[in-house]
Amino acid sequence: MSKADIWITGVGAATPLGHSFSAVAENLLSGHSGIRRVNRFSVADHPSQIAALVEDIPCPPDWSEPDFSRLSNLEKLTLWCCSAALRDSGWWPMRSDIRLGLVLGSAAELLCLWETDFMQGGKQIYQSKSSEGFESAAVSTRRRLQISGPAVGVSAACASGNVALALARRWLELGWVDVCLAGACDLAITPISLAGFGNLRALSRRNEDPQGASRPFDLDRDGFVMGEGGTMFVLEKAATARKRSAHVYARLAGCGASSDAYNMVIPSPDPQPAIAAMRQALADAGMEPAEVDYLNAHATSTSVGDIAEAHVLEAVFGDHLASLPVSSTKSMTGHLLTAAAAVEALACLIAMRHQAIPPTINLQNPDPKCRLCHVANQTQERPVRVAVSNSFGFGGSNTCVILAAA
Amino acid sequence: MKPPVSLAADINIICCPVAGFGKLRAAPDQIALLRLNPAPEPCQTSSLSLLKYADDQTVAGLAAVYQAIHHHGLAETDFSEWGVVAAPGYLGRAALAVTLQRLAVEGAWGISPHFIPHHSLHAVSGTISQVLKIHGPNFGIEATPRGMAEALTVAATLLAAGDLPGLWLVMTEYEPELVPLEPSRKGPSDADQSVCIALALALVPDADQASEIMLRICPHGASANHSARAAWNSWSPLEKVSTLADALGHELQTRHWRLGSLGWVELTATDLGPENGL
Repeated sequence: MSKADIWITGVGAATPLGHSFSAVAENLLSGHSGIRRVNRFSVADHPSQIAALVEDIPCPPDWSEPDFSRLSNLEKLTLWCCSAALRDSGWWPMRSDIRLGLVLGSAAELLCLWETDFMQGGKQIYQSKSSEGFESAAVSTRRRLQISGPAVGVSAACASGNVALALARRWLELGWVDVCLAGACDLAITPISLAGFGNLRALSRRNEDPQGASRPFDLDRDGFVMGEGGTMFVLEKAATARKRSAHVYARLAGCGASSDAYNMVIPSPDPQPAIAAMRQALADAGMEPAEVDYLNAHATSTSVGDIAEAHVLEAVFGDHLASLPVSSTKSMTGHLLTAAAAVEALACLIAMRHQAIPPTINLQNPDPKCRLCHVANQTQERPVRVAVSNSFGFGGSNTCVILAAA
Repeated sequence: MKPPVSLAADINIICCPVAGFGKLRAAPDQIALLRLNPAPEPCQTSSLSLLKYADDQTVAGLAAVYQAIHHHGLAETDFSEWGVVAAPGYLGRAALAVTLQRLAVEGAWGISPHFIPHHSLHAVSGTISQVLKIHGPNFGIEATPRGMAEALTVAATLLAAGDLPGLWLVMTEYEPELVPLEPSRKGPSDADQSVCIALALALVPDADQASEIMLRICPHGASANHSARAAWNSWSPLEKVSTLADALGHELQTRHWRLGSLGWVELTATDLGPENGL
């Protein structure tokens, strides 16, 4: 398999901060928080009662509103993001003429579907799925978009979006697809997930101050805030993009992945596996740490996770860390779980497009154990040619992607 | 049905030698025993406590991995840099049915903090990676009736890059489908008839490596495949774990299945050792 230059030429998004590249950019760069009190279901007995929600997923143009309204929420979200990305890239009218693949980060599709149905009085969980010919969101989106390449749903928990990007790149390099949609979508803010993460003591209980609740790297943090949404990208070989004079967001320069093999939930106290994932991505990109202009940290706003990541960054970047701008956009978007890595790759593209780094908001009292060059509370304008995004997940997954100016 | 056509000039076929495989069928009472000791021989690992909250499919998948290690001489293999891809079928369904009842009765307080970590899609691969101390990538594949094709496609993708020394591909599902019994219904449950099927393949990347079993992932349009392309319509899609597991229980054969829209998978097996039948 030969390596190829892979470019990102389209973006589609639906997030707590907006449903387009420009809307998300405006909100991220103005330090706006998408977190508020959950009103989708009763949260009176939940330890954490706040989240970054996505309401009213738009119906794609040329789609029948009644047909769209009959889809599950995850299907709507995936269809919107994929459709918007294809239109943005210019491939929409030709999507059925090429071998177009789809790699979708998606972790708990059926669990959420069954739970939502049950809460509405349904009994799908007690009924056979095989007999009704169930399709996953990846497969149904492929059919609805009338694309002909392979489609797959993957999950490395909160690192899923980075895994999807890495797989899509390899499909392109293998010649298995001509163009590939990759990213992740998640709509997991349900009573069980909010209670499950809450009872795990992973969530912030700063219920009286939703917009101040997600505070990565801050000494006063008390857990993460759940978020939801999705982002899909169009990937293609540079040669293909050049031939059609496509607009380019960035080059997917490097990917790395490893596993802690330590605990299903807690990051390993040994930083080596996460260090390995980052070094693998840098080597894959053929870059030195000093070439990185911005790092979008995984930092979820938990003490154990933020500190563990800071140690990893110290080992990978050495002296360069003192001048490497680091921020966690989860302070504004919340933690989008399965979709987190995809939305944070979008944040990197925004930094590169606007030559401005989105901040970590609510960072009033930086944790001395996280000695980083924080972009605290205010956007920082500076050149960004290379951006790195870390995403780690339950099951011990560590992933890193490197995006570079094409 | 007409297979899709690719415009790409250079399309790669991936060959994956199978260094070993393990397979099992386990009823609920057998899963309970495997949870205490998933290995054919007493297990040395200290991580078995993490199976306490694991999904039944995780337990069965891990047991299949141990069978592969035990029956195919892999005990001395260093798995630390391998990867793990797992494709469970409808993972977490039984646990969710119980959890929904607890939510209805006890509210948020009644939801176990173990539910999400151990019943979401990453759980099988994450647990296997933890138990076997595997530091390569691990992730799950959304398993639908087409999950087998997707799992094989992804496994081949990872091995194609050549930077992993090996990969565990673990596929699990219930036959018949495990449908939880509605609490208001009395009498025996259909779920009592369901057994968990698990298949673990130890795949290695070197196409030239001599192996008694070989999986080839063949995309449409690859230059070597023009004659096979004509036969594509006559092959069945690969939809059940037991189909592949059963094929691994017979000697001297070459089998083909359609692989979603990508192309097809070819299994060539010459001598399948001591394990026969599922």
